[in-house]
Amino acid sequence: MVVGAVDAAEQALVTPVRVGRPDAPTTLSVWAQQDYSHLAARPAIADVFASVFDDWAGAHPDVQLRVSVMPALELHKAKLQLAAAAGRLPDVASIDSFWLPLLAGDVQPLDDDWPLDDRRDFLPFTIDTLTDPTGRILGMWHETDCRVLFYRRDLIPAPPRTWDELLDVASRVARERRMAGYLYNAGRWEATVFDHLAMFWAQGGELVDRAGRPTFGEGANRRAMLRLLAFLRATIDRGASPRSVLGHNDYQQLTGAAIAGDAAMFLGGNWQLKDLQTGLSAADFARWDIAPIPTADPGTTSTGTGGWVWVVFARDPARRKAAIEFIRDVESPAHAARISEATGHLPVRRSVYRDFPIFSEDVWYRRFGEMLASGHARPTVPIYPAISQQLQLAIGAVVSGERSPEEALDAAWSAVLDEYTRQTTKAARMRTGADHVAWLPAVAAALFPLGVFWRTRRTDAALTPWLLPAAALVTVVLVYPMLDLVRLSLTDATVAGGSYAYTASSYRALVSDPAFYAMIVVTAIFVAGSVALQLTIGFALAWLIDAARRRRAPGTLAARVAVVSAWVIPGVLTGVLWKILLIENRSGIVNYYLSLAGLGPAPLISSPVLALMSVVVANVWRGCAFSMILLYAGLQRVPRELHEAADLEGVSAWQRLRWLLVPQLAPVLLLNLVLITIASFNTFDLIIPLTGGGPARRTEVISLFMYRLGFYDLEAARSAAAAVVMLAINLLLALIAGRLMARGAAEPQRA
Amino acid sequence: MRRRVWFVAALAAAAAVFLLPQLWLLSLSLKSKAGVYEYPPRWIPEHATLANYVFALTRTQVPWYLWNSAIVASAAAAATMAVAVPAAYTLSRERFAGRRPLLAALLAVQMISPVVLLVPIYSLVERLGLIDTRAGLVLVYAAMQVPFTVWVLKNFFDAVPRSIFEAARLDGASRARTLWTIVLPIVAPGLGASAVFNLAAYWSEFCLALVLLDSQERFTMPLGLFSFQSAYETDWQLLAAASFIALVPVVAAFVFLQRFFIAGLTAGAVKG
Repeated sequence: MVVGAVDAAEQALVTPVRVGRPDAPTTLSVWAQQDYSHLAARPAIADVFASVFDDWAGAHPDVQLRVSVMPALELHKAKLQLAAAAGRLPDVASIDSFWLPLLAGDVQPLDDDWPLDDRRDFLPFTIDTLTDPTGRILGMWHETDCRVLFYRRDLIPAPPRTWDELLDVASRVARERRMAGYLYNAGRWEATVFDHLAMFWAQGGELVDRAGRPTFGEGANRRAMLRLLAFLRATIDRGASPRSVLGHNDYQQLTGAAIAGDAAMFLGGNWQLKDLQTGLSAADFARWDIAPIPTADPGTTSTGTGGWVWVVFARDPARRKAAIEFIRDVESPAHAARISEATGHLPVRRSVYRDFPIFSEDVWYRRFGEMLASGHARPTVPIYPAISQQLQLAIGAVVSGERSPEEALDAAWSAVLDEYTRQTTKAARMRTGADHVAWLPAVAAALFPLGVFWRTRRTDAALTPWLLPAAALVTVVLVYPMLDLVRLSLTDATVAGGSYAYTASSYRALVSDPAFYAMIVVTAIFVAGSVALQLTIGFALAWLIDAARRRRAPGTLAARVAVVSAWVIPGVLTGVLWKILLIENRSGIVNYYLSLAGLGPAPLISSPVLALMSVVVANVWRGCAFSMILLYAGLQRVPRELHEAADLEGVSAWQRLRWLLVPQLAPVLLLNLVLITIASFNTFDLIIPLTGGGPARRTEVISLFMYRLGFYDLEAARSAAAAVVMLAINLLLALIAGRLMARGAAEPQRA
Repeated sequence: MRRRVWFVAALAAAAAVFLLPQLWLLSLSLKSKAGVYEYPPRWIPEHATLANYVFALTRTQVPWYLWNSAIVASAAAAATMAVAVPAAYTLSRERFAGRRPLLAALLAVQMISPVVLLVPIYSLVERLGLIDTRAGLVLVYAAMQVPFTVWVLKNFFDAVPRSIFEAARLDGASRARTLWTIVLPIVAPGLGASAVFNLAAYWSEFCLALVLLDSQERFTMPLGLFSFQSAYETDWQLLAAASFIALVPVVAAFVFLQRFFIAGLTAGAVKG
C-alpha cells in the first residue's frame, strides 16, 4: 500500500494528456465523447473516470492512452468522417449510435475479444442495432437514454397523455401562471428531431423502410408527420409554448427554465432529472415528476432511445485486442454502474439494473427502465443525417409560422429524396485513377509569381530572395487554395479528398436552394448592420476620448483600455459570453434588467429578428475597439490649429464634425470600412457558440452556411460553390476599396 | 468644468458597456452550480469559490491549451514577420517591373478571409501530411497575415526619410545592412505593433484550428474553450473560469502594450 502511494505520487497514471505509464510501449489514441472521460468538463463525471482509468492503467502497464475529447455532436461526427477519408482514425472512439453507417468501412468487429456471455448481459436493442448483416458485432453500447415529459405536480395534477390534453393544460397554466406551459427543443440541432420522433413512431410512422429508403413523406407516414408538425404549431398558437423554444439548442436551456420556475412541463431526457435535483431545493424538486411522452392517440406510447457506442478502428490485431480490453474494462458492470450514476444516463447492462442498489432500489431508474421497454432507436442508415437536417428545418419553419406543415414537410421530403438519389447514384459511379485537372490550380497559382520573377531576372535578380519567401508562402497557402476552390466547386466531391467527378451540379443545387437566398439576406443585414454600427460607435468613442483628452478630463486611458479589452477576447469566447448574457430564462442577466425595465424577458436568441440583432450587437461590441483605435489615431493627426480655428469661430459640434473631422479622416474612415467589412464577412467564431446559425437558420451568415455545408454535411463541392460566391463578393469589395483608397491617398495633395 | 464632468460620465458609461459583461463572466466563474441559477442574479456571489479555477487548471487540459496557443501564435507571428519584412522593404524602396501587380495582388488576397478557403486549405494541409500538427497550423497562420503585414510595413518604410537611404548608400552599405542596422531600428515601433497585432489574430483564430486539429492535447485556447460546451449540459461556471484563465494573460498583455501597440499600428495603417 505504502509503495503504491509513493509510486502514484511520483508518477500519476491519469493526467490530462495521458492515461497509463509514460513508458508503456503501446499507445492507443482515444476520441472520447465530451461527458465520457476523465476530461469531462463536469467534475463529478471526471472524478469517476479518473478512478476507473486509474484501475485500468494499474492493470495494464504496457498500454497508455492519449485521450481527446471531441467537440459537440455534429462536429465530432464530421471530424470522424474526415479522419476516415484520410485514414487518420483513432484506435478507439465513442460515437453516437446513429453514425455507425457513416463509418461502416472502418469499424472493426469486436467478436473475437468480446465473449458471447458478456454480450448477453446487454439490452437486446443495443446488440441488434450494432450487428451487421453478416452477424458481426461492431460496437459496444455504453449508455443509453430516453425522452420523457417532465411536469410540475403542483400545477398539473395528472400528466397529459395526449396532445390535446397537453395543449389544454399547458395553455391554461401559461395563462394563469404567466409561465411557459410546455417547453421543448426546436432549435437547429439533432435533439429537435430526435425528441419528437417518439410522437411520430407512436403513430406507427417509419422514417425509412428496411432497405434504407426514406418513407416519411409517403402515405400514412406523411399523415403522421403532418399531425406532428401541426401539433408543434398548435403549441405556439394555443399559447402553450413560447416562441423561445426556437432557440433551444442545448438541454441546459430546458433545465435552466425549469429551475428558474419558468416552465410547468418540458420534453427532456432522463439525465436532466439529476440536474433538476442539484439545481433545486429538496422541496422544489419534489414538485417535479416524469411521465411518458404524450402522443396523438390515447393508448400509444414511444420514446427515443439514443446513446453512445464504443467502436474500435485499430486494424492491427494486437492494438485491436488492447483497445477491446480497454473498453471492456471501462464497461465492466462495476465501472459502468459508477459511471452511469455520475452521468445520470441509463445503463445498458441488465446486471447493473439488477445487482447495484442505486439502480435496483431507485424508483426513478425503475421507471426509466420501464420506459426503455417502448424504446425506439434511430435507424442506422446513411440517409438519416439528411433526414434529421431537413426535419430540423421543417420544425423550425413550422414553429416560427413561416411555413405551413404541408409546405415544410414537402420541402423536407423533396430535399431528402434528392439527397437519397444522389447518394445511391453516386455510389454507382465512383471516379478512379489520377485526376490531371487537379494540377491546374497549382500551375495557375505559380504562374503569376513566376511571371514577375521572370521579368525581373535580368534587371533586378538581386531582389528575388527578398520577395520570394513571402510570395511563395502566399502563393501556396492562399492563392493556390483560392484557385483550387474554384476547381472543387466544379466537382461533386463530398468529403475533401474523396472520389468525385467534374460537374456543375453544385452550383445548380446552390441556386435552386431557397436557403441560399435567405442566407444572402441574413448576411447582408448582418454585415451592413455591423459595419454601420461599428463605424458610428467607433467614431463616437474615438471622438469622445479625443475630446475628453483635449479637455484634460481624467479616465481617457482607462476607457480606451476597457474598449480594447473587449476586442482582444477571442471570438469564440465573445460568443459564449454573449450567450451567457442573453440566456432567455431568469438566469440571464440582460433579460433580468429588461424585466426590471418592463421590457422583458425577451426572446433575444430565439426570435429570428432579435437573434439577428443580438448577433450584430455582440459583433459590434467586439469590433468597436478596432474602429476606435484607427479613428482615434486619425484624430490625433488633425492639426491643432484647425481645432483652434474652429474654437475661435465658435462652430457647432455638428459643423465641426461635418466640415472638419470627416474630411480630415476620410482616408482613415475608408480604410476602416474595408477592414471591418472583411472582418464581418469573416465572422463565424462568434456566431457558432451564440446561436449556431439559428433559430431556423435566421442568423446563418455566408461563412456559417459554407462551413456547415463543408464540415457538418461534408458537401465539399457545394461548400466550395458557396465559397466561390463569397470569394467573388470579397474580390469585388477589394476592387472598390482599392479605388477608394487610391483616391483617398490622392486627396490631401489636391487640397 | 461642468463639461468635464459630462466627459468623465460619458467615458465611464463607455467603459462600463465593455467591462460589465466581462465582470459578469468573472462573477459567474466564482459561483457554484446552484449559484448560477439564483434569482435575482447576484453580481457578488454569496459563497464565492475558487473551485472552478482549481478544477480547470488541474483536471482539464487548459494549461495545455494555453501552451499550444502561445507556441502556435508566436511561431506564426515570427514567421510572418520574417517573410513580410524583406518583401515590404523591397516593395517600398525598389522600383522594378511587376511591382504594381504584386502590390495589387497582395491587396486582393488580403481581402480573402481564411474562412472562405477552409475546404481547399484543409485538403492542402491534408496532402502535406500536416493535419493535426502544430506545424500545419503555424504554416497556414503564418501566411494568413502576410498580405496585410506587408502593406502595413510598406507604409512604415515609405515614411522613412529619403535622406537616410542616401546617407547609407554613400557609406556603401548593402541593402541588407541598410535594412538591418539603419531602417529597422527606426521602424521598430511599427514592427512591434504589427507583431502584436498578428499575435492577437493568431491567438483568437478558431475556425482553421477547428478544422486542422484533432487531438485535444494540441488544441489551442479558443478550440479548447469551445470544447467545454457540452452536447448535453454546459457547466457555465466552469466555462467562465476557463475563459477567465484564457483572458487574463491576453488582456494584461494588451493593457501593458496598449500605447505602443496603438501608436505603432496606426502610424503605419493611417497615412496622414
